[in-house]
Amino acid sequence: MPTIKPPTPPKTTLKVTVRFPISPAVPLEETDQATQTVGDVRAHAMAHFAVHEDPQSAFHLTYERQRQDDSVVLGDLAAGKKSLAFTLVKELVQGDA
Amino acid sequence: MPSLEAQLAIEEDLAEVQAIVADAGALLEQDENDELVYWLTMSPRDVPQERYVARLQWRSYPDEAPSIKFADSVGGRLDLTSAWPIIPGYRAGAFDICQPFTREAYDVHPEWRVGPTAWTGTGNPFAWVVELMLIDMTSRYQGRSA
Repeated sequence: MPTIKPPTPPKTTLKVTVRFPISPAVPLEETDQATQTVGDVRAHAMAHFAVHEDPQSAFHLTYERQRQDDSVVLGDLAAGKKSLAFTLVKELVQGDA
Repeated sequence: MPSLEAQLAIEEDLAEVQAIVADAGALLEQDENDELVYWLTMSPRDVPQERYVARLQWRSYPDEAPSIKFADSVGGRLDLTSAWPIIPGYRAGAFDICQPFTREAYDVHPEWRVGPTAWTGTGNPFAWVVELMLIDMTSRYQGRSA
């Protein structure tokens, strides 16, 4: 009798793009699993745009102009959409108010 | 009179800027008299009835940060604190944005001209500045100045 494998749930993938307007590099475009996080994408983006965090430079991703924590899961953020477009933002110092 | 080089550089970057502005439901208009001056009209996401008009004045592009002031209307007065949103780093009383993407900030903090806070004229700095302001208006807006 043939062995019947249990059905494997389809892996949901998302088309992800990240822009970093002050970089001369083209936007990052990749396909990610819906289970990956914003932090994963941020790491890929920082490598793609060749930027690094240091005590004076921190970066985060925004989606629809809202900052996203690294822990956010892409599938949750997409909420049924098949693509996500992020912007990489360098956090800026500010002077005294 | 703005240099032809600066005008051409802005024109090259403008399509991306306009796409960002349209996506945010904002409006970017070139000044009638100065080709390096643009007026950005935008609203906070949660308070769409509030409108803010920022004047972005490039003196050189892309190698120098723009002057940014808020006005009561496109082409309007630049000396009203009530035209300014309350956002950390935006100083209505000083009529400046004290963050390293404006000419005013670099004048106040010349030490920002070097190192990680230095102006970056690479990529599309017009898009970068506009995007920063739209993000601020979405994520860090706290109300209107008195």
